[in-house]
Order: sequence, then structure tokens, then C-alpha cells
Amino acid sequence: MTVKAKSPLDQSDTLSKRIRAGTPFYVMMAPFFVLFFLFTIVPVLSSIVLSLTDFNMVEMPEWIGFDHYIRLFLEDDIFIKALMNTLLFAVITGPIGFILSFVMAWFINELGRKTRSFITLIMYSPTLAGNVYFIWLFIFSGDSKGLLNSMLIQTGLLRDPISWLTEETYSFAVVVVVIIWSSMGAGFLSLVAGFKALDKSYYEAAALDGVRNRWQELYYVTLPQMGSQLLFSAVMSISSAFAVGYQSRALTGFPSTNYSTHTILLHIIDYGSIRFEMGYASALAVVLFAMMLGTWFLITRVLRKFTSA
Amino acid sequence: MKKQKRSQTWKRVNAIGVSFCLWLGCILPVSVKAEEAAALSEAASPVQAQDENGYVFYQKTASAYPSPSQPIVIDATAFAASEAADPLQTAGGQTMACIGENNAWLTYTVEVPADGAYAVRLYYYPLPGTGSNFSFSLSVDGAFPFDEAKNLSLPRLWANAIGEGAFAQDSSGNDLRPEQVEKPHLIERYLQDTTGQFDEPYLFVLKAGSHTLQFQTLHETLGIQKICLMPLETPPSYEEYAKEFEGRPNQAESVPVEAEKAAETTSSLLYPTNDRSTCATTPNDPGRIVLNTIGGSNWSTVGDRITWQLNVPADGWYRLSARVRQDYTAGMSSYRTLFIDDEIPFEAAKNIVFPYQTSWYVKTLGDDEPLLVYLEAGDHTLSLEASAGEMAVVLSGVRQVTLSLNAIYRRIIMVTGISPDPYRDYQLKKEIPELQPALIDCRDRLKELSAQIAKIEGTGGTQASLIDQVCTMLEDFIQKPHEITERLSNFQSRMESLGSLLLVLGQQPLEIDRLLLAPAEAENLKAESSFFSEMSFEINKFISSFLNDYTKIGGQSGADKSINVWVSTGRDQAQVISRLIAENFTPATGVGVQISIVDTGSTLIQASLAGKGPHAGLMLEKDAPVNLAMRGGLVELSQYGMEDIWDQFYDSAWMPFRYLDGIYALPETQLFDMLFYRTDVFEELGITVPETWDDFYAAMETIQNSNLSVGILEKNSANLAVSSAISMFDRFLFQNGGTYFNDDWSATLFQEERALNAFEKTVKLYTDYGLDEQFDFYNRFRSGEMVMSIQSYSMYNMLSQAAPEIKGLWAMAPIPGTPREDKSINRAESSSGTGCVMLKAAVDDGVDQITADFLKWWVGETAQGQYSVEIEAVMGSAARHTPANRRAFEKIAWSSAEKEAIIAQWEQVMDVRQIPGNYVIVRSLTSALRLTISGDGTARRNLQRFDKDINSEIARKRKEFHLDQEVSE
Repeated sequence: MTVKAKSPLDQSDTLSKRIRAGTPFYVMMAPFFVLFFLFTIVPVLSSIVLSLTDFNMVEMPEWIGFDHYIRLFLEDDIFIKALMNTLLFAVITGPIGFILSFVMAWFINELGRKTRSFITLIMYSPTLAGNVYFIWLFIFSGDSKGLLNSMLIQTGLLRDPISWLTEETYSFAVVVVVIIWSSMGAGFLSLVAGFKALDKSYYEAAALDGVRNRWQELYYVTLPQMGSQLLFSAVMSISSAFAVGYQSRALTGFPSTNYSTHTILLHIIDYGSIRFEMGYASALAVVLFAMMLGTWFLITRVLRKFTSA
Repeated sequence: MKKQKRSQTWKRVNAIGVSFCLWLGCILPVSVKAEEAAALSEAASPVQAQDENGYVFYQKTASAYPSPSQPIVIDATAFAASEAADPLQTAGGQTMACIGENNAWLTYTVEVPADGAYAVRLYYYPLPGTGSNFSFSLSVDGAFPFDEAKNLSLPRLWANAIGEGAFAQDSSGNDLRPEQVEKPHLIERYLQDTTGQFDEPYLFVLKAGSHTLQFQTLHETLGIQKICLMPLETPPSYEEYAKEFEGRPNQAESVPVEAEKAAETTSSLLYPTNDRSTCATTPNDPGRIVLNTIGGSNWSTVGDRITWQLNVPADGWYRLSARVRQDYTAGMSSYRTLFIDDEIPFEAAKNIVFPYQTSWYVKTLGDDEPLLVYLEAGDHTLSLEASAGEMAVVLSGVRQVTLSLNAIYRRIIMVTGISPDPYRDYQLKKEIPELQPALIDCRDRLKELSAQIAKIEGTGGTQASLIDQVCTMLEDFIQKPHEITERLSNFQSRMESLGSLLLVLGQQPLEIDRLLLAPAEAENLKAESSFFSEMSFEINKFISSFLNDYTKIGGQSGADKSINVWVSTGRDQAQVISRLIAENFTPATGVGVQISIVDTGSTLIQASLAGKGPHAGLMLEKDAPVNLAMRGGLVELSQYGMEDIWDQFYDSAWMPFRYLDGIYALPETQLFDMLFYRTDVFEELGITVPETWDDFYAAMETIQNSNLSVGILEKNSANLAVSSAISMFDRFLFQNGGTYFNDDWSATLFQEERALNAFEKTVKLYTDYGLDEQFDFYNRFRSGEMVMSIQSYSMYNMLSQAAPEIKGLWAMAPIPGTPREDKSINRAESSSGTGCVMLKAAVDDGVDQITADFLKWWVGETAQGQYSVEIEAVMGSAARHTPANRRAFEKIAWSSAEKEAIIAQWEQVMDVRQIPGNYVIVRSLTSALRLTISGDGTARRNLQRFDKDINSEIARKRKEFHLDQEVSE
């Protein structure tokens, strides 16, 4: 007779018994869960509630139903502009950042150990350094003696300085450049790690099976093995792409000229801390949250299909 | 055959075409150049230094004259003529000749027996005033012998208010910086340079015969008792000095002196300071702030003197040593001159060298072979005065070269413009024939200076290498003149670095911990303490850093009630506020004030929401009070009786704090713009200060024709979201009688012709007149490529402190205006500022009346005046306060000419209310301006378009605050 070790989470037990058996796990989970509940779940729920009220931060909130959402989509031109900008930022910088991270990680993987860690550090440093946009202000200064302007003027390409940061035509592109510069974040690191964790024997097997070049290797061997890292990196880059705003605030001023680089995040800050309309700001936040959630679902679907194939 | 002919014809056509092009190519530039040359010859400026009226040159003349054999003493009360309100006053028990404000003067007639170069020694008494140094001019026979004589200065005497006693402490046991008070008594001092360019007192050449000397004040009332015209004194050599005291008894004993206990100083900035870097600095404590040193970077101005009082127990020969630190100016020595009982004892006591070193060290007079000083038993004073030393020659040399290079630079950009076309040869050699010799001259002078520095400082160091770099650049320019245009920006940045070198060279910083007078064989001071005591000190420091609350300041003892006040400012300012409260407010009212340093801008509303807010907030930006008030966060202030302080402010200061029928903040500071211009370039170009906008545009044309520029900022790099050009729009609007809002502040008036017109004019500055939208004013003004600009008047302080090379070459005037019908000029403009508020919490806690009293006291004449003076004493005149209180402004050390100009402008400042939704106005105007400047739509259409946004937001906000209903009810 063999005694089978019983899992504490045996499905056949009653619920209360299972909870009792799982107590150590709950205790271990508790610190994180309490914090997560307090600082993520509660704010999300409370902003959903607040979004249905009128709240000016001094007087009590007043229930107004879906008025804010109606105004959001039908009356607020700036919101539409911010929405478009956010989507544009996300569509341009998200995939570019993601693909760039992947390609860089792939290249770096080919290098020697020391060079690899050195280059990784360099690529990751914009993220490490935090919000160091100052250097870009210096480069894109509208002063005729700003770095870029003076270079262009000296080579004769320009006669008068361009206000890179405040002219509608250029400011958007400038912000895109800076976001891409700083996009080598945690996702990039996970990809670098993922390349190192690949099982070398698969490549030999693939070579025997007729894989001829590096592209085929990448497509048939490398990618399918890196599903989880790809997913993580994609989620990171998409969610950061939706949270664009601080970069454009630091670069082009807040609010930017004619809202040219205004995003939903900045719109929330505008209503929350300048106009003191918390209810409306909450409605905006809820919309942004929904958008991020939707995109996340989409990404997981696409990548799962791709990697599990 | 035919083919050949055709090709020949082609060739001919080609040849003609090519030669035509060549000819055109030759003619065009020539004709353009001819025009330019014509324009330039009118405005041609000398490339050599313009400082020929300076003392540098006068000194050479003076040195040819003999040193007079006898001093001439003039009794100051026996003046020949005067234009002063009350010329004879008694102070300090003696009768003085006094000249007060408003350019009063006194003249004296002197009979000079023989030709000579005289140093002027004044015996004066520092009469009470605003606390700044006395400044005045001295002319001889109706003319200034040299430029520096137009602005001479003499110091006041200062001492710690607590005298010799222990320093006061706050509730956590930290030493409080003692207040500096004046300690007036009769002073005798030479008229001398304070910039560090000349080591000796100024010499005035007087030929035999009768002369008139005229003293005229610039600011502060000067009381003179005696004027001595003296030969230059030279102290005896040490051998002579030693011989004099030979054979006297020698029973010297050690006399230690803690340097922070100075008896008197010549500057209010010379207060005791704190050093916690090592426990060898005495006294010290790991957990508390202990005042234990004096000087540092505040003791850098030549002529600043610190005096200590000592009691010598017995006659004898004393070795003099000090524990000092000079880690401020890398590679440069500082100089001090030693006075014992106000006399320099011997030659070697002049310009004692304190070399640069990163840590504390002990300096002994005479170093390895100490020079002993003979002192008799009894009280003595010992003084150290910052002196220029050997660097004086270098400094004045660098200043001269910088002036020359500036002139050369301006001359070049008059031909090439600020950003020259790199593909064009400007023929600089031909255009400016004097360029080459001038460059060679500058290079030679710089080489000499660099060698001099190397000789003085030994290694040469960073300063010499900086000069060498300029030399190399000039060498390149001399060899290849065509490179000048390509490297123009390099040229400019090199000049900037020479300018900052001037700042460094002129400074003589030194920090002193303690002094020791001791017999030659006694143990000397120690620079460092042992390793273990140092380690335990550091560990204690680390532990105690967890125990202190650094945000709280003050908390006066002996108060019945107490209120909480948040201040968004630096620690130094908060300490001054706290001390003023402890000295004046708490004793008078019995109310204690707890000050916390909090950024009130963003946190006040959140804190009030959470019920953690203070009773009052100081230094809120001008748009914040009304934004809080309309949400019910603030208490209306006029109900607490503000009538008596009403007149102390201009109406414009109150305007942003009015909402509905109430007032929700009291004005603290007010800042507005003035016109800054380079007097030297104005003179060169033959333009005068513009009074109206037409004058302004005319001046601008002349300036721009010379490839120089005028600056009106559109983008401020500190805050890109707000266009600085909105203040131009305000000017054009206000000066034509326009304003922002209709009578009940429910909508804008931007659709009116006046506003559209003003907006168009503002845009035209950038589109039609081609002004730069963004620039660094400070640097461009220094180099002279920006000749005129409208800047906030606090820029005056920055320029006067940080741009020594253009001292006296620029001025500040009211902004241009629009003529009214009666020919007077309307110079209206808007201002910025801060205010202080009372929060609802004050009413809830029942302290509203005392909070109101506190606010009233704080913005009042006395507190603001004292605050202004003290802030300037603590942080220097670069941090000069800009109070909104008119009477407090009078107490600040502006000269009468500056004061007059500022007040002339201030009277005309006007402002608009802040209304619900006001944030949308700035951002919309900014967008409208920038879209129009970048060519996207016309000015009128853009303003109208954004005006719609503004008005719909205002309407929405009015609905939110139920403002329209009240009107209809």
C-alpha cells in the first residue's frame, strides 16, 4: 500500500479545509497583497466611483451619473486630441521600442561576455538614470545657440533657429525620439536574459533538420523558446507607451503649445491638479485603464498564438 | 563643318555666360560690401580698449609725479560750498560734515604747496542708513580724474548683536546665527579699489596751487570729519621693526582666539559660520550646529576686514598663527594684510599669502622662520584685511584684454552677423584693417599675463591654462583670419570664460577657525585631529542625523498661543523669518509661530482637504490665492482691518488677490520688467534710451543694422509652457487703455480691436522684426551682441554681481511706452509676485485674529524692510528682495538713480484680476502666439479662435462656482 503525498490544494477537499491547508501560502502572500490592494485595487475602484461624481477636492462629491463620460467623448475636443496623441505614441513607440529591444538583445547576445555586459549597461542607462530629459532640452533648445540649431546653422542647412520643442510641427517627433531613446527598459533586460537561457542543443538539432541561415534559426528556434520573455517585454513596452506624458511634459512644457503633445495622462494631471476637477479626471483615468487592459488582452492573444505554434 | 561651328558658338555663349557670372560674382559682393562699409564707417568703433579713462592709465600718469613730502589735512566742517539739507551734524561726539541722499555735495578748496600724487585718507563716521556701504564720487576741479572716482565706496562697521557672549540657540540646541548690528565709531580709511585690480590706494595728481575737491553722495549719508591728502606710506622692513624693539623684555604667553568671536567686521556678511567637516575645528558637536569659523566665500571682497580684540598678558615677542582653509578658488592663493592696532607693523605683514589647499592648515606669519610681533601687555586689536596682492596686476590686465576682445568681437559681428555664412569670405582683414594688430596686441598681453600667473602661483594651474587657450585661439586667428568667422561662437565662449576668470581672480576667500599668539618655542596650532577622534565624530554625526527634524524652524519659547505657518522658500530665508518673528512679533503679541518649509504651491489644497493644513501660507504664486479662495479654502482678509496698510502698496499689487468683493491674500513681493541696455554700444551707435515704442523700433533698426541684437524673450527655458511674450501683449494692450476682462469678469475683451492690435504687434516682433525667440540674456549681454533687452528688474543684481567685466557699461531704465494725449508717456505693464494667505483652519482653531495680525505684521513696512536688509546681509546683494511694500522698498540699498528709475516704472504697473479658469488664458495666448509666429494662420484669426476656448472655459468654471446665478438673483 503506498501512501500518496497529499497536496494541500487537493480539489476534492471542502473549501474551508483547503483554506486552512493553504494558510502558509496566504501568509506569505499577505504583505504584497495588502499593499497591492491598498495602492492599486482601492484607487482603481475609488476612481471608478468618483468618475460618476462631481468632486472639486474641497466640497463633498456630488453624484452626476455618466455626465462625465458623455462630455468626454462628445464635448471635450482636447480629450480627443490627447486620445489621438496617446494612440499615436503607443502605435509608434510601442512596437518600435519592442522590436528595437529585441534586435539589440539579439545583437548583444553575439558579443563576448564583458562587451555584452558593458553594452547592456549603456543601453539600459537611460532607464537607470531616471528622468534625465535635461540633456534633450539642451540639444533641442530653440536658442540659435542650442546644440542642434547651431549645428544646422553652421552647416548652412538652416538660417533661423527652429523651436523644436514648441512648434507643433516638430514637438511630436522630438518626443517620439526621446521615448524611443529611453525604451530599453526592463523588457530589454528580460530579453537579454532570455537569449542567454536558450537551450543550445536545439540549434544543433535544427541544423540537422535543415535550417540554413540565422533568420530561419531566429524564426523557428529562438522565437518559440522565448515566448514568456517576449510577452513580458511586449506588455512592458505597451503599458509604458500608454503612460507617455511625463516625457512630453518635461520636454515641451505643460500644457504643450496647442496641446500638440498632450496625452491622456497629461489630461488627467491637468484636470486633477490644475482645474481641480477630480471627478472628470477619474473618468479619464478609467478610460485610460480600460484602454490598457484591452490592449493587454490583445497582445497576449497575438503572442500566445505566435509562440505556442 | 556645321557641327564645329555650332560647338564654337556654344563655347562662345558659354564663355560669355561664365564671364558674366564671374563678373556678377565680383560685383555683387563688392556692392553689398560697399554699402556695409558705408554703414559701418559711421558707426566704426575703436577696436582698442575703451577704458582709457580708467585708473589703469591714470596710474601711469600719477607714478610720474613725486610723492608729496607732507600730508595736507583738511577739516571737513570747513567746506567751501555745499548742497546738502543739513550739512553739519553731530555724531559720536564730534561735528561732521554730512552729505545725504539725492546727490548732495560738498566742496573744499585746497592749497597744494607742491606737485604730487596724493592718496586720500578719510576720517568718517558711519551714520545710520539702510546698512549698505557708503558710495560717493570725488571730483577734482570739476572733473573726475579717472572713472573709478565716480563710484568710490567706504564700509560700515558691524558686530555680532550678542557681543562677546555665547551664541543664542534654538529649541534643538543649534547655534543661531547672531544678528549683525552696526557698531559705529570714527573710522579712518584710504580711498581704494575694492575689485582687486589695484593693490595700493588711489593716487590723485594735484599740481601746486589751489584746487577744489567735490564729494557727492550716490547712496547713504556720509559723515566726514577730516580729509587727509597723504603720501603713499610704506611700512618699515622687518629688520627695522625688530631693531626698534631690541632689548625689550620678552615674557610672551600663549593667547588663543576663537576666530568666530570677531570684535568687528566691515561687512554684514562676515558672520560666524559652521564647519562640521572635522572635529579639529573648535568648538564642535556631532549633533548640533555650532558656529565655529568665520569668513569663507563671504570674505572675498578686497578691503573686507575682520578685527579681533585681544588681551595680551605680558610684554614680549609673539609668533602669530592661524588655522585656516582656502579651498574655494582652485590653484589660486588668497591674500590678507595684517593690522595690529590699525597699523601695518612691517612690510611682510602686507599681502600675506594663503595658498590653495583642499583641507584645513596652519599658517604662521613668516612660515618656517616665524616673524615675531612685539606686543606690550594690555588690550590690542588684530585685523586681517582681504587685499589684492600680486594678482592685482594680472586682474587689471585680464580686464583690459577682455574689454579689448569684446570690442573686437562686436566689430567682427558688425560685419559678419552673429551666425556668419561659412561659405562666404568676409575679407575681415580688409574690412577691419586694425583687426590684425589688435589681435596681436591682445595675444601678447595675454601671454605676458599667463607668464605672470605662472610666476606667482608656481604651477600655473587652471587659470593660466585658460588664458593659454585664448592665446592659442588668437594665434590661429592671426595666422588664418578666414577662420574667425567659422569659429565665432568659440571666440564668444572663450570671452565668457575670461569673464568668469575675472570673477575668480578678484576674489580672496579665506575661512578662519582660530588664531594663536604664542612665544616662538610654544606648541603651534594643529591642522588635524587624531584618526580615532575623527572616526568617533563621524559615527556620532551619522547617528544624530536620524534624530533631527530639519524642516522645522523656530518655535519661540514664552508664547501663550502658537500658529503654524508654511513657507515655500530656502532654509536661509526661513531662518531669517524665524528670527524676525522671535525678535519682534512674539515679544509684542505673545504669539509663537512654528515655521515649516513646505512647497505651498502644490500641497496647500491637498493638506487642507486632509485637515492637516497650516493656519497661514507665505510666498504663494500670484495665481494661487484666488484659486484656493473660490473653492472656499481661504479666509477673506479685509474683515480683519487692512485699511492702515492699504496705502503701503500700489493698487497693482492687490489686484491679483481680489475675488468677488473680498481680498484673499496680502502682497509680499512684486517684480516687473525694466529696460536694460549697454551704454557703451549705445554711445558708439549714437542712439539714446528709447522713451516710446517708435523710439524703440528706431533704435532696434540701428542696432540690427550693425548685426547686433535686441532681446525680448518668447520662450523661457525654465518654463516652456508659458510664453514670456505675453507680457509684451499686456504692455501693448494696457498702454492703449485696454484690459483683459469685462466689468463683471465674466468674459474676455480679446475680440476688441485694441486687443487684436496689441496681439498683432506682439507677433510682429518675431515675424517682421525677426527677434530671437529664445536666448541666454546674461551671456549675450556681457559679450555685447545683445545691446538692449526688457528683463525683470532683479536681473540688475545678477549683472552687477556676476558680470564684472562690463561694470559701468550698462544701465537700467523704465520700459518704452505709448504717448498719451497730454504728451506724457504710458508705460503700463503687468507684474509678477507672491502673496501670503490665511487658511480656513485658522478660523476652525480660533486663531484667525492672531493669524491676520501676523500676516499684517509680515507684509508691513518694518518686517519687510528688515527682511530685505537681512536677506541681503546673509545672501549678498545678488539675492536682493523685491518687496511689494513701497516703504520697505525704500530701505533697500538701491542707489538714488536706480531707485528713481524703478519707482517711475512701478507707479505705472497695472494688473488684472485672477478669475475662475484663469489657467486657460495663459496657455491659450501662448498657443495663439506660437501658432502665429510659426506661420500657422493670421494673428487676428488665431486670437479669435483661442479666445473662444478661453471664454467657454470661463463660462464653464463660472457655472461650477455658481457665479452667474448670484448675478441674476
